[in-house]
Amino acid sequence: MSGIGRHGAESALIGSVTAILIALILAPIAIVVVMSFTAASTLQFPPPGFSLRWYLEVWHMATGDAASLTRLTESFRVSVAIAALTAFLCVLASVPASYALVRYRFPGRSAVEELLGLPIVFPAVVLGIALLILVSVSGIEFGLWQIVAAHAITFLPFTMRNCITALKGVDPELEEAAKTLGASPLRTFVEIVLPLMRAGIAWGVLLVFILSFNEFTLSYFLYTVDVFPLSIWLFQQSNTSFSPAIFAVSALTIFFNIGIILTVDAIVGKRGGAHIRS
Amino acid sequence: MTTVGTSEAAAAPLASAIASPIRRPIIWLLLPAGLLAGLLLVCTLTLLRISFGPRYAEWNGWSLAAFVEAFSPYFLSIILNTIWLALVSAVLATVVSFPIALFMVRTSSRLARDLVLICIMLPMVVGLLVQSFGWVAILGPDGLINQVAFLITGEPRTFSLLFNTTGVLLGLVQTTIPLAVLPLVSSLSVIPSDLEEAASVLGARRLQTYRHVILPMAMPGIAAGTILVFGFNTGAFVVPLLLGGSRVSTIAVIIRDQMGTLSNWPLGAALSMALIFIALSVQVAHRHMGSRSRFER
Repeated sequence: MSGIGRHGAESALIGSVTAILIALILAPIAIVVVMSFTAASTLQFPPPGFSLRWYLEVWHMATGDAASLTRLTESFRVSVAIAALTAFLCVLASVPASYALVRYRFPGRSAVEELLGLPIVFPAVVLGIALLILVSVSGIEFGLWQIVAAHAITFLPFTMRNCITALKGVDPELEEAAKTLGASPLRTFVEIVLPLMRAGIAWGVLLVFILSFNEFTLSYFLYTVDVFPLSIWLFQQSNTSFSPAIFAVSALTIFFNIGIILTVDAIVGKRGGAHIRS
Repeated sequence: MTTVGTSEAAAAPLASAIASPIRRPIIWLLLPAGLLAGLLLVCTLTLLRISFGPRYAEWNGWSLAAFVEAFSPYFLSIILNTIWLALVSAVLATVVSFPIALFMVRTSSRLARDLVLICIMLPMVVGLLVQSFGWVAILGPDGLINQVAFLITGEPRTFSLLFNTTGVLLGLVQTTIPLAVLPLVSSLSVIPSDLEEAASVLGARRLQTYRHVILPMAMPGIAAGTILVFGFNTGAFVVPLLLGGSRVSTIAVIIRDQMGTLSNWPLGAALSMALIFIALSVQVAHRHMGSRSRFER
């Protein structure tokens, strides 16, 4: 707020520098979207004209006779399943753990907090390779669960953080009141605490779902012939035939991400948005 | 127990009211998250064991050969190159983040702030795989930048930006900007505007105010952001894989090669230990940077 009048030139400078930087940061995403509408069959830039032909091509790849060969639909389904299971696992683990960390003092609490924050800095390549070794040593077929486990470990801190923030906003006196009135601890939690945490949990689920859906490195090490996520599909396609159809699929995943964010925002509302921030 | 916040004071009576039978519930509450985090420890221990094993007999014998090889000149140069790339990208990301964070703190429009936040989060959320196609279209030999240069200078393919260090650095900075912006925003937003006014009343020019008031007070955020980006980028894999071609190697790419095609598991595991060591150092450093708790703020 300081001196909008006096430092008008300064805030104009900061504003325009920010605008330029944001444009640069978004340039690769913007180019992907623009190129997906090209009318040409090559990736020349700028596109000579615009059309929806590559979206039509993707539609044929997904639904046509060769759909089982291209495996596009299948990959999309696998990615959605992995993302949904990951988000579910993360919430299942985060809600009780955040309750223990926020409501109780106990020895070793800071060590637990440290351990649960570790996945943020843990290198994904190392986790992916270690899990791959463990899976091959065990000799068990885990199917998509090996990717789900890797994603759940990596993205747990995100739901933890949202749940802790949400829980801190719930007045402990409400719980005491419910208990004084004779409600059991479980009933108090389910009927009082959980509804009040709803927005924070929803944003956590959203964030983890999207991060898992787009994740590449862990999937790269843990995918199998039967479990073939969309990110791996895109990677393989880009190595074999680099056609604008890949740009159309990429643009569709970007639209898919933005669509989910807008949907959750409309359902949960602005109040919950605070948890994804800061 | 040093982190006493408001909610903790409020939780105290509740905790004491049900103090006696709480020990067991806590373990059950922490169990699911503990299992996931425990798997991370199992992974680390597995690699630690393999790193001390001889090649092709990883589970049986003991050997230090992998560590000796990991610190041979060839691999040491890749380790140092990775650290160098992470360092440069961390500094660049912080420099780029500073005006963005300033804008987010100073703008009075909530919409503008939210919009900027979404814009900087988008590259991190979308992920580099999808964006790398865009990077190729921008940086490639016939990409946007070279087309523009061609229009100006008339020389085709002036810049080679793809599959070298420049392209990798751009990718590393672009995807990690939110990690640098968010800590900066939280440390800039606590600077009272009185302080800037006091400085100007006392005759400081704007640049002096920046240098002697704003910059020192933003230091915790600058340090926290730089350390986070550094830590994140020491493990860089997708960016060098997709934008570096085969010419830019990082520790993570080498680990993949050793574990995969070259099947030298102990060496891959020893290099993984180096990466884990850096990650743990980063977490410790980040903790000492004044951010009290990972989940707070």
